Amino acid sequence: MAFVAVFGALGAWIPQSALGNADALATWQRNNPLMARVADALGLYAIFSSWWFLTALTIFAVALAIATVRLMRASWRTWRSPVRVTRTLLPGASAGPILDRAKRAGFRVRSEAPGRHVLGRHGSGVWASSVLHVGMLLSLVWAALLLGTTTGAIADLSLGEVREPGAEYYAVEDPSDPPELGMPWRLDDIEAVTWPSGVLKELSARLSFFDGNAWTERTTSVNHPLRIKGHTIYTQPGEFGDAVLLRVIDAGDVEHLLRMDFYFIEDGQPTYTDGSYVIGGASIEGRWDPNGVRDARPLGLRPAGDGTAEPVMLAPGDMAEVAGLTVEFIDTTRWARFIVQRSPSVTPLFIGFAIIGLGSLMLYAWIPRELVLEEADDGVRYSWHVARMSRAYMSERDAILGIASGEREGL
Amino acid sequence: MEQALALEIRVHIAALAAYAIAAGLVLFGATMSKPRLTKAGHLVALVGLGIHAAALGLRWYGAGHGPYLTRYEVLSSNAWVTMAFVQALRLRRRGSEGLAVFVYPAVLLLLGLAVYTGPEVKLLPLTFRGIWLVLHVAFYFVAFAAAILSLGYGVLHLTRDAALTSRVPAVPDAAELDRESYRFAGLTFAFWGIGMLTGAIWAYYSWGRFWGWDPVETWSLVTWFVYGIYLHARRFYGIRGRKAALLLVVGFLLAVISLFFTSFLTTSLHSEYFH
Repeated sequence: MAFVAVFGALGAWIPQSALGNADALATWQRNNPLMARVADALGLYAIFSSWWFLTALTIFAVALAIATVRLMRASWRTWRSPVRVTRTLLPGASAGPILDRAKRAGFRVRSEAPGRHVLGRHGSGVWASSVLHVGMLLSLVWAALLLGTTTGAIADLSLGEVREPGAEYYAVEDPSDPPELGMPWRLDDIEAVTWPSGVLKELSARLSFFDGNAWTERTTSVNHPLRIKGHTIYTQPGEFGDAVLLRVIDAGDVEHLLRMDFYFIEDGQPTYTDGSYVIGGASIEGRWDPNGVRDARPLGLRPAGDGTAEPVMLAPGDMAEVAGLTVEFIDTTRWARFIVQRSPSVTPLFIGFAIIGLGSLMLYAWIPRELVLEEADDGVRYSWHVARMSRAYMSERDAILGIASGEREGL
Repeated sequence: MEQALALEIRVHIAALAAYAIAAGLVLFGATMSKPRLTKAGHLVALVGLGIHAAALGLRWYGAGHGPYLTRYEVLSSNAWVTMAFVQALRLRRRGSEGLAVFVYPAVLLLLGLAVYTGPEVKLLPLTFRGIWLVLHVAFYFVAFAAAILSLGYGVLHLTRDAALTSRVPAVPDAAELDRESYRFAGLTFAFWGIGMLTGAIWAYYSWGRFWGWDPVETWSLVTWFVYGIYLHARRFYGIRGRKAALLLVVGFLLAVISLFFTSFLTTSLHSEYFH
């Protein structure tokens, strides 16, 4: 734990190249030249994927497994242990009032024999540490499995576009093993709800999947990804927008069909293409103004990189010459990019989390207490056992036994 | 809604004033051995808690989301949960009044920082809309409040013989301070862990991964581990008293770094939060 904590803290401080922090890493190296040399020499830019950190995590997991087994054995022994021998005598006391007070304090009778009473509270709390450790072990093992087997890609679709099995992705994590649903799927609609200020409030996409017989419609939205055939499909708030469909004829009279994408802009202002589009050696960029802020015609095109050029404005159906290209504005559509992940079910991980939560609360709130009473000729003999934080329950013991605090020591 | 927000700022300042008076009365009453002043301080703190609750309610209504997004909201909520915690403890368990000497000024500091940062309202980002985020933040509020209480007992233990705390009649003996700091460190560990796990579930549904070694996540894990080390050190290695209290101070510093500073120090997916 200490090793993982120390190097975890170091990894949180030094930007990690493996996490795609190129800018942050460069800034950190500029600001900490001495530390940067040390980090470079020790390979501290990829701590979380380094062999020694993974080895430490593995050792931690093994230690956790051993501790879990030992704790479970100890819990079992405590659970099954014979009732403790009563040693301390309360002279002149009788069991009846003590039993009443114990029951009022939430104690239950575990067993009763003539003259002998065994009472307990939160007995299942003896399993608290075991439960917590089982949850941690399950979570750790399943997390490792998920991290080792999950593979992802980004699918880019426009409205009505069908993604056939095996088609190329917009981006893929492992090109040799891309995720694949094995069935055609289609983007039917994107619904974006905004606040009055224009800020995005909700985003969902309707997708259809073809199982060989019929198309089945499903929905994926932000925070509610779609799970289908071992894959999870995520909608991304920043990855959608309007698009225009253009027919472009280049200088060599070759015809191209082009989808020009514009990111969704929250304030309704004109938005620009992210980079330029190169067609037949010419390069163009566009401006999209669907609300008519600058011009009644929504699409503006101009040669890429020429900030001084006045854009050529087009409405659907218009045709114009831009940067030596003949461009016809055919139609508008919408586009979206989805993260597609193939992974085992995440449910066991979440069950592990729930077990950790339960174990943590048990550890804190279910402190097992046991009170054994034996009636004797000269009073009542008792034993009192608390599994954890025993001193914190001395006042409870004294209240049940009806003795003043600290009196036991004098008995 | 705008009226609610304008009123909310004034109510927040009223709560701040109440906490300042409460902290002053408790500290003065404790150092000057004036129990009536201390009692009055507790009463003012209780009134302040009610005013503070009203301020947060107005904020919730005015902003359209729970008070857990901006620095102002987070610090104010942290202050409220901590004060509610200490009041519940004080009313339920005798002998916990002495904790106020440490916790009231801490709450005052938290709320003062909140008011200082300014009450700018932000709309809830799309990925922040969901029950897992609410649970994630709520568990961290409880965990942080427990961490403050645990630290309070630890600091009282460390300064037991110092001029101030030795004069406070309500401060329990060293053994009880040690035990209570252990108890609340356990609660911190439990709720911090659950907060982290609900955050992992939220991350899975929002970003497509439950863990990514993001700096804030990692610091949070480190903090949880340090509290875990503290609990193991006590239970299995018999570390008690000053050493244990010092380890708690380290754990608390990590908790503060993790919750309030990491997203400023490095690039983090959590940067949208708490700015």
